[in-house]
Amino acid sequence: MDTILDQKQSASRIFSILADLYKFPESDIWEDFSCHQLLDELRRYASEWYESNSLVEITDIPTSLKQMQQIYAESLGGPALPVESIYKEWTADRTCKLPFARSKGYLLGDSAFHIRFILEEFEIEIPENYRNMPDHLAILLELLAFFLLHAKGELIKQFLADHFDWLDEFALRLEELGGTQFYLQVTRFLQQMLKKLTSIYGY
Amino acid sequence: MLDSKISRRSFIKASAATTVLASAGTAGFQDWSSKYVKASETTEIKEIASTCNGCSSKCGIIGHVKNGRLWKLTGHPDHPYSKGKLCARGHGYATLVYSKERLTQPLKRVSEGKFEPISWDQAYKEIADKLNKIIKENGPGVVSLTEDPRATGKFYSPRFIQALGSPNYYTHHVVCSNSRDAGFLHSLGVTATSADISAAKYIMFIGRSYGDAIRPSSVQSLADAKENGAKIVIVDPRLNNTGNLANEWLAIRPGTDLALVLAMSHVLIKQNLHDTEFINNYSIGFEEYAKELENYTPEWAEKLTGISADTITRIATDMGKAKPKALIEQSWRGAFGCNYENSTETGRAVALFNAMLGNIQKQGGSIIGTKPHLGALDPAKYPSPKKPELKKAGQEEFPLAYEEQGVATIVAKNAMEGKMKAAIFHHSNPALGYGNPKYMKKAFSKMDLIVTIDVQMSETALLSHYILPDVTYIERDEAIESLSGKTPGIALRQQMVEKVHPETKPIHQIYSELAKACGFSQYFNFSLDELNEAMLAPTGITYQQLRQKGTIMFPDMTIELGKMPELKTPSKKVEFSSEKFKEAGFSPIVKWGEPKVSPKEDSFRLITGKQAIHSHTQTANTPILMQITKDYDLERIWMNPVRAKDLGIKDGDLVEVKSSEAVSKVRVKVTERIHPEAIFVPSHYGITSPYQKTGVGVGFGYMEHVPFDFEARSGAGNMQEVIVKVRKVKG
Repeated sequence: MDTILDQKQSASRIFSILADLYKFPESDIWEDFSCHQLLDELRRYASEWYESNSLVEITDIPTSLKQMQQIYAESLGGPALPVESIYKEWTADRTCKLPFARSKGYLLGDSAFHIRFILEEFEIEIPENYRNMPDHLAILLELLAFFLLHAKGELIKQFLADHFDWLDEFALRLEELGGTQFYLQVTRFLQQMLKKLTSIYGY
Repeated sequence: MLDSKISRRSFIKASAATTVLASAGTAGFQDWSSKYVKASETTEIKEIASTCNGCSSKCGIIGHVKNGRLWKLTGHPDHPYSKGKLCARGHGYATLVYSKERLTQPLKRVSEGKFEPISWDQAYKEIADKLNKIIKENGPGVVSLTEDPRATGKFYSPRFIQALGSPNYYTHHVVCSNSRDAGFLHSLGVTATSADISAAKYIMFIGRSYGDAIRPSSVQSLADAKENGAKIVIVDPRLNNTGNLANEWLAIRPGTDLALVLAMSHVLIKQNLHDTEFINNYSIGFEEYAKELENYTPEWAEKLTGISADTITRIATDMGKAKPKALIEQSWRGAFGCNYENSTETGRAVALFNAMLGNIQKQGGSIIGTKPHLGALDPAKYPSPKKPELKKAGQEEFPLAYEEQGVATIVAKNAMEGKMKAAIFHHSNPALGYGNPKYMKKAFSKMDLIVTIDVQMSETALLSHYILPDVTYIERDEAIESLSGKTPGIALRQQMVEKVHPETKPIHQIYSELAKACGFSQYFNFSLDELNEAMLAPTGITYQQLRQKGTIMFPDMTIELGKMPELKTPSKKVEFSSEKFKEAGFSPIVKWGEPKVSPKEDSFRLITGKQAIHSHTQTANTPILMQITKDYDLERIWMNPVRAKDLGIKDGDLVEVKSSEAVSKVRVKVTERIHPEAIFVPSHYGITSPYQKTGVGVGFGYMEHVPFDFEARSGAGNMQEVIVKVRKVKG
């Protein structure tokens, strides 16, 4: 790649596309997906940016919008929600008296509140549907894509360290679910890209 | 740069200032977290009074909310059930609001066990079209609605089904208290009394256990009674967890409670310890009953119950001497709520035993509670649907069952026979909990439309054509709850936190919107607040006051003890002989009747009951409650050591439990706390829905072994008319 700016733009583009893949698949995504435009674009940017041919393969590809929605409903739509709070201790607030305060597995944990804080600080709006799940992977990846283009390296490094350390557990959950491998393969791909990004930002 | 397509999809919307802010800002989690935690010590905590949903008691709770999140729960000090305390389920079940395994959007079944998300509009339209088509083709009598009612459901659900022209509204009582309710209703005119426990001097529990998950205030009252010197007797094939407060445990042979109560009644008369003045003034048919009771000597009962004649005589005599501050606690499900073919008669015998003690409306006795006087919507402005002319399905077969509750399992039976085409299930899981799951699944498969409204993917939801996601009780306002008792009151469930999943809706909204799609929005042209305002109008309390306090009691309406009210029986008196029973083809007076099945030497009766940390199967998917189950192996069946030795079974062994209906494998707890003829299985396990990751696969569901059945009088499910064989297996 020619310049650092190009690299940032490519990386940003990769995480934007990945963000789309973690959203409930509507017809517009399917439109791009079904003619391979989305995955081709992802692979193209990734192979340039990753500077390697050994990219994680995404092979178990849905064949219809209905199937894709079905796969989503049976994994990301419920049994394996891609929401950070679920994979982290619910709150560090030691005065909280709820019996599950120190447990994992619950929505709207501290990480969600931190994302809310970031959104407020930077005057960023998200859809109302995600108000109580601001730490959904689709949002986190869009934020990352945005920061890659506009934020200082320190912020990107911190954001990476803070909000993407749960993906191993998430991938394990997808693995346990079995069935179609599509979202597991996408997640493995994402992890590969994050590893690269982490190495760039020194975290 | 991002192309237009990606940008169009983008969720995040940055302002003009964002780029500038991002280029200069930092937002590290650790920094933020330490500030957040530190700041949280002084953050304002809002207290919102509401009611629990950890079980059907709906105790008063206070939700403490910090930063918009639930932070702590405590018992409401003014609520008569909680009195400032909250049980384990109350704390544990609240996790549901932040659970990752909730229903989050409307779903439509595409094939067995497979669903696709759809919009609310599509769901409403398709459900309404199907309901209207079914009714057009078959009439409204083939449509039903079943729920485990909460305050809002109590008002909206019957109104909705009536608006469809159907009378078929049912509650869960068919597997809870239908038998007790029928027995009490036709004896005392109420489906249940309450008990003035703390002032009682002699208390007998038959199958009911305050120590196994009832109400905090009930346990406190019993502790007070003990402190005051009351004698407490537990009648149960299992030494339950009220044992800590009891003086005596009678390990009765399961299914023979009726014989015990009849013999105790016999003793009262024989020793002239019955309250003749009360009986003469406030009852009918006593002479007939007394004549029948001559047959039921303690010696006769000893052979049936396994309790010695001396013990029966001693206890009945002591209770007679302690009257009117002596009682048999009225129970709910306990031993005679829905368990045996003779349970309605046991219910009647218990109500009549209390009447013989003259304890009705007496201190330390049985209390017929009073309700607050609440208002109603103005019918001119808010018209009600016409009461359907059709009879509720099941009413002809079971005329003694309490009509308001009905016999919910008739829905499955009629579906099997092609006479029930559509069913709506709200806050209820009949596929697992109401009748044999295999039967229920087959029956449900014959219906044209099943709609389930719930918070989690229950076994019933899995069999449904449409699933509508409810909000949790932490996220919704409800209609005002009327509290009946010695002192009446009102309680309000209130939204504590904003809903976590935006596509979930509270039930009043679902009914109102579905009504519009069905074409009868005129019956739902009011808001929940307008309904509550109308209910409050006669009380002189403002909605704001109730919202602030959550629970308000009316001490000036406390009933006067010692003053017998006019009863709601046909004679307006206690009915020792019931014409209603006679009209229904049964003996007008209580007679002994055997349970339907009995174990032989090589078999057991399967009995079930509660554990303090769970409510039916509702809490089985609650991780912190299920962890207690796992830590203490609470899913095991109980077996008496004498029988275990004969079968070569040791504590902790894996066994096979086989009935006419199913085969299950589970580990055994060998304990002297269980009658040799019985196997006890806790009623909370056996979840089969793969969507309930925490609950699925733990223990087995006793319902799998219960043949689909109706008790002849009340229509109850005959839950303990089950014979099983047990053998050790490898594992």
